[in-house]
Amino acid sequence: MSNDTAPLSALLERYRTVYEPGSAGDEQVRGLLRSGVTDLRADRLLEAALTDEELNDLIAYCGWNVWDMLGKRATEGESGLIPRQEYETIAGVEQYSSYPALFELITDAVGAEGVIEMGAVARREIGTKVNLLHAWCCCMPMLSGRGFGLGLDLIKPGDRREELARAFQFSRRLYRGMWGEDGQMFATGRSYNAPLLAGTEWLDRFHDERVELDDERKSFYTSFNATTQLLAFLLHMDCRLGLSDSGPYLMPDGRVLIVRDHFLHDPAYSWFEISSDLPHAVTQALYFSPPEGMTFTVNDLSTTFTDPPEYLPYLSAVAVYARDRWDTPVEQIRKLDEAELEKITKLSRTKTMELYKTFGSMSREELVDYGVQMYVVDMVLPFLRLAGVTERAISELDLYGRSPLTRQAYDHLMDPATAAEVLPRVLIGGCGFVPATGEDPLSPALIPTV
Amino acid sequence: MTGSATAPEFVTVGEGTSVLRSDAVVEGPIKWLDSPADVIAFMESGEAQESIVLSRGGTTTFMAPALSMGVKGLITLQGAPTSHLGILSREFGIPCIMSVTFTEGVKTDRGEIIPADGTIVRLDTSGERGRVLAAAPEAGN
Repeated sequence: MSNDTAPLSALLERYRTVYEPGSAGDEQVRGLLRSGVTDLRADRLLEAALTDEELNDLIAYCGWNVWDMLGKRATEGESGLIPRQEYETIAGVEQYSSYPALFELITDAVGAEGVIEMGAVARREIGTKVNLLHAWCCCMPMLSGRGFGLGLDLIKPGDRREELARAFQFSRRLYRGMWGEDGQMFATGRSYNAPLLAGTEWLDRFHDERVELDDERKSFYTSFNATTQLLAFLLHMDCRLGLSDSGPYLMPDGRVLIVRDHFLHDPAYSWFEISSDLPHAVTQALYFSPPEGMTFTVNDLSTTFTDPPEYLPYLSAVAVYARDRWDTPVEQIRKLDEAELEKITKLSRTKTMELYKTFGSMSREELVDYGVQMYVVDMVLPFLRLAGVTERAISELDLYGRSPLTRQAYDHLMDPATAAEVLPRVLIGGCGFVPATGEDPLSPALIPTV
Repeated sequence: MTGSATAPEFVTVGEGTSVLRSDAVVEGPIKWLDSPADVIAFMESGEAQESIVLSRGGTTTFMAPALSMGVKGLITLQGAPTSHLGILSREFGIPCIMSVTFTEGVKTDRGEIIPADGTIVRLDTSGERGRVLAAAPEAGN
């Protein structure tokens, strides 16, 4: 079949016009892999690097996974405030350039087993950025960035093959620790379920400390949820790094629990100074009493989707907690009473308007710089901090800097037309996810042109 | 906005994708917001909470003040319900129709057709395809 000039609509319908979305697509694509690299078998995790076959398989699977997560969102259009497509593409190139060395720094500090143990934090703590989304971010943006580099003809498919083969072992180890078991690496291979806190005392605590909601209380709590979520989005430059869901957890009484973190302050970023009187994170345990047949899923971006989409009408109980600073010990995470929730809601509303005005007065270049910083730093920072090597990452590896390749790509990607063309071509068309060497496991589906 | 003796007649002027499905009738004057300065000025005008706002893109942050301070409804010319703005409009419970193509109205600087500011529009989000209806001119406002 020749689909090298497929229309955008066909590419949105199926990856490379062939592979379906959802669990059916996961099965289709995994069925074509030759190495089982998406299976987190313990015996392969301590190898220093992936084999060529494993690397190619992982690249191929990730192409489909990114499309499944982001493909349709890549058409969300332009932002009148934050040049997101520009900063996402530039950051991706930087991550392709800098993450392999950052992962080596962390692994040298804690060892391969230590990386697995880092991932396990997601199964023990709330209000932590060691979560499903950040694990995904230690894998996928490097490949997106590689795709943008290929799309601009700045690199070749085989470039940095050995570094990438080592870097993806870091990602696989994180995932192994996060799931705490063998099995598929991504939530796409786990039927979109991520109940990371299952079996922990957190679920008992949420249950004991929940507030049952009448209509008035429901309005109060949904306002808190929406207002803090909006501020988290804005602080994180319109990306999802400030949010994280885990679940769904099926409760003995038939309810469904989603555990949701909103991150509101972090001293790592200068513009977060505006929110210094807010907690680092607020965590909501959200209990739903859904009608029969309603489904809840959590994807690799730590995002809940329901079918039907309207889910807040079924919210029936809530418990909310705060982690005051990023390094607040987990034992000191505290439940928030309604007086404090009201204060946080009001403050979040005020801060949103203030920050909007600040961003509205900034140049496009400054906003892109903030966005690149958010992507590049935040996606790896939780792991740098756990390994105690943040300062070394800054001083030795120029964490906040730009690689020569990124500087080379910068002017191309600052052109909105180029960014808007390259991003969907890589993420929707999958043209950036070509093998590092040899055959594409997803052949015979041709790589289309958007 | 309900001063006339007879109810205005509404006709469909645009269609897109509903984000939040609801049978509730949402109606108000529309306001096109094209820049952050537009957004800030409009939010500070005191008219926002009674209005339905219209933007080009489907990203969250451009419309952040509208979400935070509350508007009656949101319309975008681009984007999909799974986008950040789609997700946030649902969290706020604000009716939203995305990727709307208008058939009648005035032209933006870029040539897109949109209803003129102040036109009374009604959002129909009862189905997957959302409809924007506008009061027929002769109905008077």
